[in-house]
Amino acid sequence: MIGAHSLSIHGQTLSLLPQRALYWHEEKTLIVADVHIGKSQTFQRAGIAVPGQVLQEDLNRLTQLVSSASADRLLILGDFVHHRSGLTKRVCEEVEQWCENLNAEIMVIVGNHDRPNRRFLSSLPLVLQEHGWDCGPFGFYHDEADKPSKSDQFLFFGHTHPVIFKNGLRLPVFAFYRTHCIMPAFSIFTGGSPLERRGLVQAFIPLEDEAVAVLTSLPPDN
Amino acid sequence: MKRAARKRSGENSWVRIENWFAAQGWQPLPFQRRAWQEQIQSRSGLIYVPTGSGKTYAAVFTTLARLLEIAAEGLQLLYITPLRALSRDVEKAIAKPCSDLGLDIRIETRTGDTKASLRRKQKQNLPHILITTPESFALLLSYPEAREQFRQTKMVVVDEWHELVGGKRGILLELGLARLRHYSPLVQTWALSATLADPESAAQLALGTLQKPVIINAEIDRAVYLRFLIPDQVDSFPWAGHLGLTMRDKLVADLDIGRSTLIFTNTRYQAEKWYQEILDARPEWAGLMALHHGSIDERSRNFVESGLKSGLIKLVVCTSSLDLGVDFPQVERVYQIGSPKGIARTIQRAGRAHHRIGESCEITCVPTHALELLEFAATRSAIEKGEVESRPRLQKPYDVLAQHLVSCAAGDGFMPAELFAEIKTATSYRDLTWQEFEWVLALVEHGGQNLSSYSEYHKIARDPAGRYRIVTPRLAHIHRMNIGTIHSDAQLKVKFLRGKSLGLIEEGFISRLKKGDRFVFAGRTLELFRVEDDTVLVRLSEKSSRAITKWPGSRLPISESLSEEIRQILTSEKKARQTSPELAAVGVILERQAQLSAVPESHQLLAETCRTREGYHLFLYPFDSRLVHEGLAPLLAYRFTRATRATFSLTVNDYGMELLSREVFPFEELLKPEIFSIENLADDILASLNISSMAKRQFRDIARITGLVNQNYPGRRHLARQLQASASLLFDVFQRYEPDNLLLRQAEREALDQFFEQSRLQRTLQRLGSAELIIRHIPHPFWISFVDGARIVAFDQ
Repeated sequence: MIGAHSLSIHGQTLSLLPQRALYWHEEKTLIVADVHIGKSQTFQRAGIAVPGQVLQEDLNRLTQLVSSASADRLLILGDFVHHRSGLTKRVCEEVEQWCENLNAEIMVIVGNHDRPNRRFLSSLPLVLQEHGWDCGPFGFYHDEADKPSKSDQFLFFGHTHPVIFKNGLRLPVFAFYRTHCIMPAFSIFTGGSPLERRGLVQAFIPLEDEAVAVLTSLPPDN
Repeated sequence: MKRAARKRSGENSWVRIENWFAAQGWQPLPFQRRAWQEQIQSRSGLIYVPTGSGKTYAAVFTTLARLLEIAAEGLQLLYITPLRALSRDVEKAIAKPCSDLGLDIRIETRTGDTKASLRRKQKQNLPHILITTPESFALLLSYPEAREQFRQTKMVVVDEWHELVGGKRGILLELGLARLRHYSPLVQTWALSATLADPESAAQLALGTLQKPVIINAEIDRAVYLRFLIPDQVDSFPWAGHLGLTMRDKLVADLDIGRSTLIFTNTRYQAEKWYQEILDARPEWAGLMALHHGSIDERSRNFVESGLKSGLIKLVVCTSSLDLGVDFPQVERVYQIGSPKGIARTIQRAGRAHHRIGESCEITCVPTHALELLEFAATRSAIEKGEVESRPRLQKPYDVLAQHLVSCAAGDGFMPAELFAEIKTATSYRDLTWQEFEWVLALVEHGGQNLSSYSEYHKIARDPAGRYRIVTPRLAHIHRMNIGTIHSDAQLKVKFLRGKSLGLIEEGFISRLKKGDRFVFAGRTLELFRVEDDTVLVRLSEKSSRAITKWPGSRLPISESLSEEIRQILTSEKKARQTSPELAAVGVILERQAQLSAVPESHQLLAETCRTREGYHLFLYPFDSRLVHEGLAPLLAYRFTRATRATFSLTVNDYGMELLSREVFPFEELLKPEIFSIENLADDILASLNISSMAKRQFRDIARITGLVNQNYPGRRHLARQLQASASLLFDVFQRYEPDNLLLRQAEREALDQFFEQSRLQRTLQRLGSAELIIRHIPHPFWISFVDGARIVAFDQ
């Protein structure tokens, strides 16, 4: 995996990929968060001209990642879809076809954006996890608020889209804390909230098409 | 009945108006009479007299005279003012003679604050005289009733035109006025303006291309005096910084709480901080003092304004929120903390005191750092010479046009060829090509050039008759909620846990705070408790206010005329020093500068080199503005690195710039006139500047005006959240998928225009290229502390 940065947590090997995804080698699982399918279509429906290629490209990137990693499973940490107004017939058909053609099991943890769209999601060939998913030493949840009160697992969350701002650029990050990691949003058309600095152990910047950069010092907090 | 009353009055309406003036103990001024005569001849024009000279009456009495003679229904006079707060005063000023003269007509205000019930009534039937803002006017035009409502309009008055002209707000108004002339072809246009650099062209912008303006300029002498508070010890006075709190005791001693006073500051943070400091020094003034800036709750602002008028409030610390015309004749003294960075603005602020016809005004300037004394001196000298700066004027911005097209589609609908001809009568769009028009039309009709990527997009479309209409009432509703060109960041309400509302604050600022963080707002030190939807819950902070988060205010760069004046002053400084106390004060610093390095005269350019632990510095002092230096610094860095590889970090402020290299760099050797050549300027600029990041800054407004980022959505907040995307995110998405998008082009052009439209950078380079270069090696940086400068992106080659 070109440009990946590998880590070992609880004896498991994880690769952070420059494409804002995480690969768990032992389970052959590719993990992404916050795909927000149909977001640009939601905007278009509201009379806001956002280019629609975002959807196609996000899906293509997922297909490529799954196949280049030969993953058996694609795990989406919530917010697979954005809003029902963007789930037009055309978009739904495209997503359905993509699910059918993907060469891996798809598991979606239900995020706040997914909840109102359960009917559509359950019509797709994928596994829905209502609250989260525990697997071995790891737990996967959408929102940090959904985590079990007591857990000695290392946890992974999505939801907040952590970013840092540097030289006018918005850079999504993998944010690692002592007990958990917050994943960057997968979709290109997602904003983000500033990285929570309290308790931060290490942050990694996925630089698309290049590599994962280890953040050695945080830029000043304005 | 109404008609009978008017007939009975018989006598000439102008005689009655003259009598009314006499009854007030006034006499119409010559310029007012001239304006009335021109208006009676059906001409249009610009009345250009100092603030507080009686412009309003020069503009409205012709309409009143006509209404005294003939009864008329429908909107007769449309009075547009840029400030909501001003509209109430105008309404009162017009209502008084109307009621005295027994003129039974409806005079109403319509702004964002107008009650829904009145707005509904107005929608059915506009009053005879309507006072409104440019945005509310644009909104009225976006309703299908507009054609019928404006059919009768005889006159439109645009007040404080100098505030609007050439900016996007003014340009949207130009388009609205073109629409108005389409509905009522005989409507007369009168623009009212204070100090203005180029009245002819400003008038043409208000009138459109089809009429020739009459310019009326009254020779009313309203002298402006600048007074200075000079620090006792210039030596120990800070050389940088912008709060200026070292001047606190001096200022407080100078204040007289018995006299009504305004203290202007340049940023809201500065206003908050000074308010607290003055209160700390004079706790007994607590009930007499108030704070006024754009983020303070509307009701509190109104309270402060009326308190100032009634005399209950004696001292107001404010920002530009009180710059404009609201009449406070009670105000006796005006202070300005920090340089106002422009000549016109200083005059405007000074004019807040004794806002009465024919009286002189005085402003007391309080410097926040030593070199501001220079800026003040330059301002004074420019005012004495009668100079004002001209503002750059934008050309045919696409975003404003896009918004206008949607408004027209939401209103009466439009046929493209017809609307194109109409838009070209708006002076700012006179050069618009059909191709450009089609581009913008395609943008709002299809979303963009590549139709397949906008398959779900809809906004306006042709009806069976071929007229463009907005597609759904809901889209029209959203559009109307977001009409206008002045947008601030998304605003959140600031509220106490107990419920009292304090005002609005930018979301961007709050998002940087964590629970328990303290910040100063509305004159109080607050502690963030929680953010709930669009509300920030806070409580009073018990702890001291030292460690507080400040929120960024935009600091204005100094104007070109002012920087020119500063260079002059440096040259003449030795002679002038005896006569001018502020120069005598700054002279202490200049003498030391002359000893250690040099004080450049206006034909010279000073360069200083210096070595510190940080690396090798070059300081260059063109004394132009921050804007020019922002373009110049990367350009020089680029040209340097073509000669020798290096990495620089660049810092600029209003006086000069710093290039810092970690490695040793032969600055002295490479500083030759050629480095300031204007050959290949455009290419070098494109190669050196990070146009993309500048364009991104510019894109924020463009995205808002075009409707890509909407601030307001009706009712369902849930959907609003799904439609949130920052302008910078949209910029990235466009760059990736549609790099030739016209709005990106506009953003680039606007970014470049900051330097090119006035070709200010080019003029600067020519000046520097022929300047006598003085290079000094100095032991440590001292003249202009760049602590205060804005470090711009590191330059790497």
